[in-house]
Amino acid sequence: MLKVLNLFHYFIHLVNIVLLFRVYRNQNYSVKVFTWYIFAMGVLQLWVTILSKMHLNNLYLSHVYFITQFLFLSHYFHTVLIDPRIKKGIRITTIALVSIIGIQYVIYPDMFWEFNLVEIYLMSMPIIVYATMHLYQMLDQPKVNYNFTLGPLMYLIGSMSLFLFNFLMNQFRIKYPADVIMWFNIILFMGYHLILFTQIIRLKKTKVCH
Amino acid sequence: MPLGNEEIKIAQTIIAVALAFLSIALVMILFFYFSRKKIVQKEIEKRELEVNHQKELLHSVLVTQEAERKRIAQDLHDDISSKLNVVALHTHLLSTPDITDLERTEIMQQISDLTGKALENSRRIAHDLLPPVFERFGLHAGIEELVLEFNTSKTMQVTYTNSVKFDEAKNDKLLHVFRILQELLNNSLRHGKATQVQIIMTQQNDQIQLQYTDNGIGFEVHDSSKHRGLGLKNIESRVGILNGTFQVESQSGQGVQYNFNFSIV
Repeated sequence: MLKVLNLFHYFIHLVNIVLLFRVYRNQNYSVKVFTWYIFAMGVLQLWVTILSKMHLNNLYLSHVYFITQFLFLSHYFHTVLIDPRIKKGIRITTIALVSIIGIQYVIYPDMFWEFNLVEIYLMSMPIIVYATMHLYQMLDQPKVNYNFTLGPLMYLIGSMSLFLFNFLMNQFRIKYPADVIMWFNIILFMGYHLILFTQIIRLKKTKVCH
Repeated sequence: MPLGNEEIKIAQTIIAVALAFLSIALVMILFFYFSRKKIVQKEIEKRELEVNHQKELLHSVLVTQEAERKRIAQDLHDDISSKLNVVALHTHLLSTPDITDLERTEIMQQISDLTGKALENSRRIAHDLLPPVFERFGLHAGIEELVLEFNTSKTMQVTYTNSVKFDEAKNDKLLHVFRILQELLNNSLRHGKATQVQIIMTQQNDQIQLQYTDNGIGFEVHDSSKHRGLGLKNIESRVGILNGTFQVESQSGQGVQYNFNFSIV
C-alpha cells in the first residue's frame, strides 16, 4: 500500500510539472517562478530516490531541498506580495538566513551530513509567514493563484511539525514504526500536490494576462 | 543535582521544538487578529457606502419634491390664481353703480369664461398629479391613457403590450411603476429625441418584467455624469421601494433599453 501511495505521489508531482509547463508561455512571472520551483523539487525528489536505490547516503540532500525550496518560494512571494516594505523584508531575510546557514556549514562542515533542525526551522518558518501575509493581502484583493499560497502553507506547517516530532522522538530514543512518518509525509505531499493541481487546472482554463 | 550533557541536550530540544510550534501559533493568531480587523474595516466601509448611497437617494427625492412643488405653485399661479384675480376684479366691477346692462352681460360672460378655464386648468393640474383613470381603473388603464396622450401628440409613437393582471389593492406600489414609466417617456421625448417607444410587461411566477425600449439618441451607460441624473436616481429609489432590480443598456445613437424586474406582493 505504501509503495502504491509512493508511486502515486511521484505521479501527481510529474502531472503537475507537465501541466505547468504546458501553460507556461501564457502565464505571468510569479506562476513561472512557481513552475520552476515545482520542477526543481521534482529533480531533487528524483535525485534522492536514485541515491536511495543505490544505497548511497542522501541525507545531505535535505539541506539542498530546504534551501532550494526557501529560495524559490521567497522569490515567488516577493513577486506576489505588493507592499514594498514586505518585499524589502523578504530580500533582507533571504540574504540573512542563507548567510547564517552557509556560515554554519563553513564553521561546522560535519553538520552537512546530518539533519539540521535549525535549518529546517529557518528555511520553513519565513515561508509560512510570507504565505500568511499573502492570504491577508488577498482578503481585499483579487484571489490570484490562491492555492499556490494555501498549498505551501499547509505543506510547510505539516512537514515542519513532522520533522520536529521526528527529531524529538529520536532525542528521547523512543522507538516507533518508521512507516508512520513515511505515511504522514506521503499523504501530506499528495494533499499538497492535489491542492496545486486544482489551481493548475484553473490556470489552464483561464490564461492569465501579463 | 546538576544536569548531565544528555539531559541538557534533551531540554534544549524540547525548548526549541516548543518555540517552533509557538511561533507557528503566533503567526496564526496574528493572522486571525489582523484579518478580523481588516474584515470589520471593510464591512464599515461597505456600510458607509450604503449609507451615502441612501443619503444621495433621499437628497434626490427631496430635490424632486421641491421641483414638483415649484412646478405646482407655478401652475397654480399662472393658470388659476391669475384667472381668479381677473374674476375678482370683474366681480368688483359688477358692483360699480354706473354700469350698463351690456357691460354687465359682457363682464358676466368673461367671469363665466375665466372660471371655466380655471376649472379646466385645476382639473389638468390634478390629472398631472394623479391621473383619475389610474386611481379608478388601475395601472393597466393608467398606462394606456398615458400612452394615448403621447401618441396623440404625434411626436412619438408608443406601443404598449401587457400580459400581467395587476391587483388593484396594490395600487400604492403600482403607482411607482406608473411614475417610472412617466419619467422614462418624458426622458425619451425630451432628452432622447425618440420617435418610437416600446413597453412590454410580462410575468413569470410572482416576478413582473418590464421592458422599455426607445430609438432615441441614447447615452453612454459608463459615463456616470450623463445617466446619473435626478430622473434616474428617482427611478432607482422607486425600484428600491419595489424591492426590484433594473439594468440599462444604451450606446450613443442606438437608443436605450431598460429591463426592470420586481414583484408586487
